[in-house]
Amino acid sequence: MSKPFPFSAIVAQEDMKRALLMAAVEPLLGGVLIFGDRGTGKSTAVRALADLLPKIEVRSGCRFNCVPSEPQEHCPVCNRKDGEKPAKSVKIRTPMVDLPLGATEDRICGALDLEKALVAGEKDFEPGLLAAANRGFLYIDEVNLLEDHLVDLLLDAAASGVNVVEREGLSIRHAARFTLVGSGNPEEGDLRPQLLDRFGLSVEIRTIVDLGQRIEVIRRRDAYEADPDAFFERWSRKDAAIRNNVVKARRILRQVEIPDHVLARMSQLCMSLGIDGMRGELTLMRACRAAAALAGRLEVTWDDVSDISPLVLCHRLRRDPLDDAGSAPRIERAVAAVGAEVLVGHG
Amino acid sequence: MDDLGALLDFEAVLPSAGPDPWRDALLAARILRAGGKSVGGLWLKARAGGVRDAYLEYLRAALSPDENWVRVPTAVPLSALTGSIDIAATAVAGRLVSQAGLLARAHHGVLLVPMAERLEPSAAALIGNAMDTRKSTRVGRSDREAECDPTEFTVIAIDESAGPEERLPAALAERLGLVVDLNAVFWSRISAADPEQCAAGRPNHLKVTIADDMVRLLSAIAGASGAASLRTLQHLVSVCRTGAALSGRTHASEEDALTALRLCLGLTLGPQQQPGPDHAETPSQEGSPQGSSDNENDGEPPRRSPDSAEDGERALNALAALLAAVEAGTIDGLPDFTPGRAKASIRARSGQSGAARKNTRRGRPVSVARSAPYPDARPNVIATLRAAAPWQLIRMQKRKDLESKLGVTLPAAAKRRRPLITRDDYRYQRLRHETPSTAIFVVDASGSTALERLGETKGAIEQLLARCYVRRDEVAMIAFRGTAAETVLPPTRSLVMAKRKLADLPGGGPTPLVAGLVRGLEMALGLRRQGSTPILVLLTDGRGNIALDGTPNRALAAEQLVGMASRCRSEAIRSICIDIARRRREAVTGLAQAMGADLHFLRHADARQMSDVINTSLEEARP
Repeated sequence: MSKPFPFSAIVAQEDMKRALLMAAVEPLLGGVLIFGDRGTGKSTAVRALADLLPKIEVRSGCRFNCVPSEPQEHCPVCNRKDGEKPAKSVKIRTPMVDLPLGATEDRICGALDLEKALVAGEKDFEPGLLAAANRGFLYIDEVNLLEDHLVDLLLDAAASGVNVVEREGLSIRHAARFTLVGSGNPEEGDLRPQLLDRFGLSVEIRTIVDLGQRIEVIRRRDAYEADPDAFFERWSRKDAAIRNNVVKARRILRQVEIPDHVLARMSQLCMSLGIDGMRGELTLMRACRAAAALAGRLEVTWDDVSDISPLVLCHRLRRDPLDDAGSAPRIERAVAAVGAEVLVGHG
Repeated sequence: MDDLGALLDFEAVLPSAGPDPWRDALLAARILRAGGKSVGGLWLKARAGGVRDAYLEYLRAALSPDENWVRVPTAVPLSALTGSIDIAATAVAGRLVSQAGLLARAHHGVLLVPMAERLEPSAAALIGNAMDTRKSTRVGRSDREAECDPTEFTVIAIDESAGPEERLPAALAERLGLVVDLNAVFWSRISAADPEQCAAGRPNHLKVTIADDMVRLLSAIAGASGAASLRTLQHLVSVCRTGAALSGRTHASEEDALTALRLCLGLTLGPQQQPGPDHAETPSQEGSPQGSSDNENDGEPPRRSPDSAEDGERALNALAALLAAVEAGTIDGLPDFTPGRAKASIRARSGQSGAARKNTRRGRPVSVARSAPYPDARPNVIATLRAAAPWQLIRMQKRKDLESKLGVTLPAAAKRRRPLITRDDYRYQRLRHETPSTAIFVVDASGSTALERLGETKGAIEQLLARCYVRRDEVAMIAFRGTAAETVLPPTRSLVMAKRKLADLPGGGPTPLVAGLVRGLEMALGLRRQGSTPILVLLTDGRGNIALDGTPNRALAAEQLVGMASRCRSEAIRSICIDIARRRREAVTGLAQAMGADLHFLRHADARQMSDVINTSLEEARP
């Protein structure tokens, strides 16, 4: 298996890279939705991210990606029945599971292990993609083409962090804590609005128009194809810098504080945009915390909020089908208004 | 031999402008062979026929005489692409045996997709994904890296689309670098191609260098022609370099760039703009490798050795002229190309669309049932096995008891253990077929009276679109004015797309009512073939004055109109006729009667009222 394209070598598309890193720092954000033109490096970025992130520790042969110190109930590798010593733990790459469009429900959730059932007459659980993605990423390309009932299933598991299987006489719960990353092209069909706001962050991504950057993309891609390993080597230092940043951010994430006045303004912002429910505010808070942690700060500032809010709020605005302006300017306006109000209030 | 002279005469009569498409097609095949995966694949626009067969034969000889050549069946289920459980082998072996899918079987070979314009968007996305990741995961296997089938293949998609409504799915079209159109090739032009000529080894295109300036120009031209995607640019660069490598050079020249543009985007200069005689010949007049490459940043197009300066200048001019022509929109192949890419993406239907027929013989699998959905339904073997699996031990035991009681050997209890399946275990797959409704607006945009109503119509369509967004129906729009009708908005549910197209719909000119009706009927029939329910909404004042051939002949137009209207009626397409003239007109009433349409007269057609009327009809039309 050759090395994937390095994350740091992706030209431009800063919003997408930042959103992905934020999701890597704070798994509770609830996934990233990348919507935009074709050929903009969506898949490349997601695949590169998994390689960039620090390795995780699992027992060898474990198909649920259990944390070695806290094995799950149903994992046959991590709990040996007869007092046998469990398998030794190894470090593996952060799981990055590609969900193929043709996947079926039992492939995703897991189902009865046919082989064992037929040969030995044993009822055993065959883990699905959700188990494989535990503690990692689940990537769905063309999420808008995926059957709705499958998307429901995925979002439910992603939000609760648990996969519950109740089928074919099986009754199993196992951890499925993963970051959901979806991508797609809105011109081929929209996602249902109910699904949209389950994603924590949404990035709208456009084809690069700057000629210099376009040429740089072609050059890097070319160098990569000529010799993937050497290219990977060349960028490994920058990748390592990003990795360290993520590791550090994860460590300090819980210590990042949000001052009350910033929090108040966040609520004000969500209210002025008419966003239903609390999910928007919660995600905004978590995202700002992740952004501050990535920047190495222990306090969230208003600048964080104004930077991050389009990513968090764009897809939560009530969609007016006849509105041409798009939602990003509306958010910017609201942010500016709230910001100005507070300045006056302080002065 | 004696008819050779006649043949030559015939050839002399043929238009000789522009490069020979057949020779281009052969060049594309050679580039596909040499470039391999960096080019992605070939988009072959050709209807069935001798020319296509000859070309495919050539491709086969050129690409992989001994390699895999996997043909994707039409209406391929996704599980056939990714691989599925081999039922026979599973039953024999007594353990789960999976078989490789089409994608994995095409490893190191060619994946041929015939009738690619009918390919489901999800199947196209799957193929595209396999092209990107170069591996495919089998069903019933874990997702670990080691257990994925590696798959590296070249895609040849045969596009037999007849009209602009049918297009290759965008997910696939964008990953195919080369475009070959054989529809314009005469049978007589086909020369006996010699596969040996391209079997002379695969030059390494990665060794070919390409100047930044050239990439910049390529990028600008691709952008101006509407293909802004970086993948397209990358294909252009790859094709450019492969072309240079094929002719034995180590640096891509402007000729190569022109060839690449022609092969990837179908862009050529018209005969009057053509700077050189014929580009189809791989430029080999500068046989010597262009050596010194250190005189780069001197403002001139870099890396030209002095002796080829003249040639380079000319070709650079050609590239610049091409850019200018593309920007001005005065170029062959362009109008066909740009909207095509946009349109290709619209057919997708996701999520819950309007009415769904259950128990159909086609459609998506939704659930498994114990009873057969229709008489001769095929059981779903996996589900059946799965249902039988938990009972095996008990049944085995029971059988043994029975045997000992009766003292005979029952036939199925052979040496090898087989799953014992009873009638109760059979499970059947239920399919659900979604049939969305599509409202096709045929709008009179002529100068006569419609101009003032055009705004209202646009408003109504936008309103309907908002309702359709909730209900997951589709809307299309055809406008007729001047001498012909045009599809303004192909069937879409995408708000993004629709708003963009609606914003600037022009009006004015005479009224080619028949042309509009013809276009609307064509679209309706096409949609019905795809499985959706079309509803024709005709908004007109009924005064058609342009005949089908574009001539201003009122009598002929009226005659043709009656014919078309009765055709509409005979096809049993649900239609609504809305009279938008100031006073009620006989003409429209007659037309509505002939079409068998509901007639509405809207004196002050406000958008809401109109959309209410149409909405009601859409609801009624639901199966």
